[in-house]
Amino acid sequence: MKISRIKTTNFRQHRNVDIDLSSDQADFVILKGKNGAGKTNLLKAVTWAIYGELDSGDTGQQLLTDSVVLSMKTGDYEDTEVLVEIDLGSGESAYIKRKQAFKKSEKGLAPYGETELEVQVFRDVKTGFQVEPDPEGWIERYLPHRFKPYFLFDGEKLERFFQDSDAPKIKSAIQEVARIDVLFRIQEKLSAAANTLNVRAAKLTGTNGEKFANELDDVVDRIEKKSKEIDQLDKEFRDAEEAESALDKQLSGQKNLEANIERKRKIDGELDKENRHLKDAKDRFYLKIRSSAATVLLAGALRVLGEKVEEARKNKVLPPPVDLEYLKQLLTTGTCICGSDLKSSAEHSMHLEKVISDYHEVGEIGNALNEHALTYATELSKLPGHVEVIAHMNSSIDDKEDEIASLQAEQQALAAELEGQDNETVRNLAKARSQQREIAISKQRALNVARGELKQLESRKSDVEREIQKAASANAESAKARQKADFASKAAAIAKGLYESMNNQVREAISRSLETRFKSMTWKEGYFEQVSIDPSFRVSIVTNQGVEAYGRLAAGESVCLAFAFSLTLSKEAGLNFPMVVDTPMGRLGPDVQVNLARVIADATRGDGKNPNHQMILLMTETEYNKQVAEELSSRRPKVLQINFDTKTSETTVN
Amino acid sequence: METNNVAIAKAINELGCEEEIKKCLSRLFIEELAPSTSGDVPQNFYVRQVEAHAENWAPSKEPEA
Repeated sequence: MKISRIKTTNFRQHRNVDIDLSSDQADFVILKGKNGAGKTNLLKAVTWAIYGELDSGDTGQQLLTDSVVLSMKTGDYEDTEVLVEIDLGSGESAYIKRKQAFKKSEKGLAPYGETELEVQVFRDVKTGFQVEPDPEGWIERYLPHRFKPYFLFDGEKLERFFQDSDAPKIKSAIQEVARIDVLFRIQEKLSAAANTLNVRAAKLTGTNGEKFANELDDVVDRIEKKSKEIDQLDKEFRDAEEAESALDKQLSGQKNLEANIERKRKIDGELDKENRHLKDAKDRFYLKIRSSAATVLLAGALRVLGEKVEEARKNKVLPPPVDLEYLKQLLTTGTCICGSDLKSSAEHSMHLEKVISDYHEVGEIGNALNEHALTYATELSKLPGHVEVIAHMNSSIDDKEDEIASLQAEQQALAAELEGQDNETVRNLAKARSQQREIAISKQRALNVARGELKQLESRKSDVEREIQKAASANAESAKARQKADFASKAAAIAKGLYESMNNQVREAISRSLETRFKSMTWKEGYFEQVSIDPSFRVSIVTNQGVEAYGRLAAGESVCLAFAFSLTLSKEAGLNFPMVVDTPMGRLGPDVQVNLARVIADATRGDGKNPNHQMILLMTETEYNKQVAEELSSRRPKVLQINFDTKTSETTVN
Repeated sequence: METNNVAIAKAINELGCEEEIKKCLSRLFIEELAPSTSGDVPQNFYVRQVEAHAENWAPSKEPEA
């Protein structure tokens, strides 16, 4: 199946576009254009023609081309029309045409009448095109609406597919596409048939017949209600778990905030401590300054005094600091301080006598001066020590002040970052998460209770059926009805077993294929170790470190996963719908674009048994770059350019 | 889609159960896929099919797989 023609009339900027995709080359089509050229609206035109809908967020209020609206006068009518022609293979084809009239009134432009849908099918030359009496039904048979998300989609929204998708959605996607839902329906309807036949058998048993029948009806009714209640509870439980997980994600996003708040709190404490230490250091410094003040202040005077004493000695107005009594003793013993014999050296003796005489002459003043000079020298010698201690204390104060300045700068930066945010946000999130957890737990409990009740009801149903069987044995007609009910029950059980077995087979096949495709698309070679869909239809992506990465994928990786899933469903389930994808690579980096291009080219290529799978890619010029074009060249694509004329606000495709 | 329909039909055919049950399941499956029903086969069709096939059904005489 492939789209062989798209023709639009007055559909937004596509006022008059007719794209012929009937050639063999049109198995792979690139419609490239700049942003705003009209690619997305072309996808919408196809979607609208087939399903009469656009997408969420697009109300479709303004379908009519702007220039047409402007040229309309009050009372004028204009139509928007899109025709999609489909090649059904084996010489058969069909076209789907949807039309909506609009009327311009005093109040403005409004749809006029209902949307008209027409489907005409060409089966052979003899009968030609024939109008389908039930066009909606025809579309549902050939292009079921439930498959729409997997063959008509916007690549930029793909990222959300797996972000929003939960296990039930993935399960229904796989089952619907693989048609296993039919088996599930068969087993459900067979079970219902068994109940109907059992009730009939009960009614035929005689006196207690009505009672048995009513009891069976009642228990079947209660089982049905309980099953619905379980489905609802199961959904609520999953929703609660999902909501909790979403809050978890938000909280982990707030971790930086939490860390910053913690860091700021720590810095506030450190600043307090450092400020206290600085004050202590300054106190000690001033104390030291005070205690050394006398020495420091007298230092200059003492130095001058010392110089004067030295000068006086030089001029021999002051005797050297020697003990007078010792000198006298030297004279008595007759030996000089230098060791020479004073008795034999008149000169030395005379010199010594002169010193003693000078000493006497200088008298008490000189003596006192000598004594003071010694004290001052001692005091002066302490000065460098004081200076060193003070300098050290001063430098330590400088260090503390630097440290405080740096802490203050960090404190200010953090305060600026935290402005408008506070740990209130984190607290509220944590509170909401905890409430969500409680809801999930309560739902799970209710679910367990309901499942227990269902088991009891099923057991009660078996008891009633046994009683009916017992009573039915006495009545031939009733026994016959019972046998039919048994047949239905057995057939239902077999259908259920087959459903479960095929369900697993399909899930495993899709899981394997999803893994291969996803791994081949991402640039992180060898990083993603395992991609799987577990029996509960939960997707799991495990890295080579054994870490679960699903839910933490980068935006580009999420797109790859969704694309891999869509391609897998199409291929594995044997779908041959044409795929129309808008901006398939918009969110991807160059490496991933090339990988994805290769995978798309391979995945849509036919083999001996199956024809090529038509792919129509609506790409920006950045997306359809040289490398991507090279990868896609193996499919010999038909490349068309969408141009937007700014003067007319209309597009052309050529 | 056809591939899976064929796969399911084949799986029904290969079931190791009584022939009559296989026949009944095949008939119901075909009816579910018929374009005229669009997957909305009425419940009374099921009851009628079960009744028809159960007539020829002898559970104890046919071996089960």
